[in-house]
Amino acid sequence: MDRTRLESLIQGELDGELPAAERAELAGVLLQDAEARRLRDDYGQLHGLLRGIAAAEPPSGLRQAILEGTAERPARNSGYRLAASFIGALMIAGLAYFAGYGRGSDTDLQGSMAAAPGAVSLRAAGIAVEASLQQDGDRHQLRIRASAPTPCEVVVRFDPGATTYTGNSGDGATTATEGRVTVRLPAGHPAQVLEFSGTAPSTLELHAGGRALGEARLTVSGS
Amino acid sequence: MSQNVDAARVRACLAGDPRAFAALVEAYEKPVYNVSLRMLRNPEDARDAAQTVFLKAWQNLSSYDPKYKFFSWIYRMAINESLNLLRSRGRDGGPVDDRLPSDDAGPAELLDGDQGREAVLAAVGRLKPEYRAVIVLRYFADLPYEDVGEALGLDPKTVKSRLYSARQLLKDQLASRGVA
Repeated sequence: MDRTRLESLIQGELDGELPAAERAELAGVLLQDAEARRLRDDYGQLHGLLRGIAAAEPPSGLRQAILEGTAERPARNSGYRLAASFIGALMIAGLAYFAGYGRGSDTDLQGSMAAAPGAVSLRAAGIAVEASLQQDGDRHQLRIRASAPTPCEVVVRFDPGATTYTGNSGDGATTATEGRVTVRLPAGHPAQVLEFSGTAPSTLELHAGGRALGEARLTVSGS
Repeated sequence: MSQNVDAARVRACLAGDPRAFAALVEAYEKPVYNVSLRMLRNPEDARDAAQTVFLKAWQNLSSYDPKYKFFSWIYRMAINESLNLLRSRGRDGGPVDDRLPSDDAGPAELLDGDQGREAVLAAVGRLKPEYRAVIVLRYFADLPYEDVGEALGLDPKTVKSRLYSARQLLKDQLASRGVA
């Protein structure tokens, strides 16, 4: 047997990819040929050294950085690319009513037509936010629910001359400035309730990784 | 890692489930990082490459063809991203980190423990990228010929041929250093 074929058989055997007939052929050669056995030992040693190198642990923070990066960059879904480009060009994320989670495919930026009035849903970069606005006289309660692999922010805008922010409860951290309430929501399935008096707040924005991902106009549903 | 589970995760991800991509990252963070690390031999570069790979996967999930294995798809991206980094840094043909053990160490010392492993890794780092890629996928991603071929766009015979040449080169390099 020539050396090239012998080396090929030895390597195939080490990889566990040698058919039975060739395994038998190699076994026969190894029985008779000391040089063949030495060659197999050499390759066996190399094989063992390579296989003995343990996998390295990824650096801490890599997974979080990946997930934050995906929140910043929307996934592309070819079926929605054209619509998403159009929406992006207009800088309008969605003008939508409630559609519920899981309907249709994820898009660059998606607002969905509503099944019920008084609610909106925003979906972008793997984050889904539902919000519903309830009115009782001049009091308004905005209920927000999110499903997000990474932390995100929901910004609620209102006319400070006509609306007063009065309080909140829920999983997020809330910051209020004139005409704007920012809710920082943790990853997972957090919920938050915001309360206002006067005129209803007007818009809802979704942010993640320091970037605005979408916007929807809020409409009121009576209680 | 099951192909069916991965395909289901991709479908769920495309349907808007935010947990599905996180599950794919969790499943493949370590192997993708290790493929990048063994191609690049630099932890910082490997981190950057792995992060870029997952971002590209995320942005191109809709182009993933489920008739292929998901890990083949993502390993191909890891190899390509590593090659891009090597090319951009002018390191595609040469060693990335040439820290071989000193020549005065004897074979017995070299074969034991960290020195032997370091010598092998340095030798892998000196292989041409096309040979390094098959060694990395065969040993550090533990793929059979067929899956290495799917990841690299090669038929299994070519994989076998490249592995043959790569191991000959490794054996010769190590023998010249008194290892293996």
